[in-house]
Amino acid sequence: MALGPDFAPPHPLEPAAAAVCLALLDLDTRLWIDGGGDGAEAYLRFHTGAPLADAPDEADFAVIADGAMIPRLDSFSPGTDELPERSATLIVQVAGLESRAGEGVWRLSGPGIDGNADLAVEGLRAGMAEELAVNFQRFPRGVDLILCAGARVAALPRTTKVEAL
Amino acid sequence: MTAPATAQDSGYNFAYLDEQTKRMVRRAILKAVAIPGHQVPFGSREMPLPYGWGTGGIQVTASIIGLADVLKVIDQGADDTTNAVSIRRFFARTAGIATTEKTEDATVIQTRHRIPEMNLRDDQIIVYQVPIPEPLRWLEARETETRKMHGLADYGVMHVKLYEDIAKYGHIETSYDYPVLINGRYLMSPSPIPKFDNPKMHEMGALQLFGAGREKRIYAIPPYTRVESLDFEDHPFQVQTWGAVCAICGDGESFLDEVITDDQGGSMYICSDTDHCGRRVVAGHKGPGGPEEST
Ligand SMILES: [Zn+2]
Repeated sequence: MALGPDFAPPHPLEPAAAAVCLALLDLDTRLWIDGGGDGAEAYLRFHTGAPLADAPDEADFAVIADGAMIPRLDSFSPGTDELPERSATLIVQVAGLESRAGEGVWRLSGPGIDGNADLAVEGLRAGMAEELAVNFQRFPRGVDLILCAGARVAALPRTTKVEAL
Repeated sequence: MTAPATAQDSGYNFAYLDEQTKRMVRRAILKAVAIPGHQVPFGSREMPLPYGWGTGGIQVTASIIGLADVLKVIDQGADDTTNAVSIRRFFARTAGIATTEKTEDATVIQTRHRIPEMNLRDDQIIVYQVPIPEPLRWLEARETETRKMHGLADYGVMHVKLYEDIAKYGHIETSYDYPVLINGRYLMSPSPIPKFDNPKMHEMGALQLFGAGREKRIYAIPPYTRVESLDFEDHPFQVQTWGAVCAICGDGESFLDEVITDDQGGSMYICSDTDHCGRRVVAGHKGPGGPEEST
């Protein structure tokens, strides 16, 4: 399916999260949907064929329709030290994503980032910076986040150090 | 030198692989990027080229390339070898994408055994063809054991091996596929590039992806990531030097190949990176030219 400017997935899915799902999910990925309602579930199952996981810790991918309601990160599989790739990827919709400095933004550093980068994330549940710090500490185990807002995407793999300013 | 995008041969899926295979490879790539230096298994497919011709690299390239990409393929630094030409043709035919020999114009560079001399940028991706992805293979053949060593970051056997080299030869013998530590954690094979190229991997702007087709492994180094060549305080890592310059462009800092010019033992050195050499010649640099008699 072509993702043009008219791409309009059903509520509550927004274009970025839906596009990431369509690019990565298929019959071989177990999907867990949080707060998606019937619309997101029917849409993703129809277009990707991904089977639903019974519990968060059995999912290869989780779609969190509202970042304010995201479950604790330790609800998802972090893989093992020998097989850290068997870990969940969380596709998390948030209210806003913006590259800018200022109070309350996150200062990100680590592989993939030249020095550091400031990211303002709106509408994510409180306490996430602390949980991401724990996630960072347990490397090579860990979960990877793809934050989505509207048509914007910011990927936070387990190697990204998050410092709340 | 540069071939524009053409019509894709409609008998193929875009870039040959079916969409489900591409998604599977992309998922492996994403985990590989998230866990820098860790080897991620993937379901390698049969390709219309024999193993040893870069089937792992080709599957990675096929999974990331898009209509707007410009592909460069090198083998030992050169764009015009049989292997490089056939891979470039394969993508021109199955994806209809533009190809180039110019490093600066490429968005994706697939390589066997070299890294271009030019600094790569963060809007470029370099894809390495890998024969043996496991750096500990020659020291421990059992995969169950090497997996444990990676899990625990227990790389003592590699340090012992390198130290034995020093005891025996006075230096570390390895000059190709010299092991590196990624982001201070995973031991990784850089593929059979000369150790001369190892420092280029450190904090490189481009995303580095590695595909091993026969062994079904993908691994990665994200842009701006620490890459250290293993060494010892009293025996620091050193790259090859030649004490010679390129006969064509006069460069004394690039990786040089020795070319035998006659049956009297005459030889000369020329840049392994043909695009680098050509660019210097265009810029007015000149080498000593003809063959030097050996003494
Ligand atoms: Zn030269």
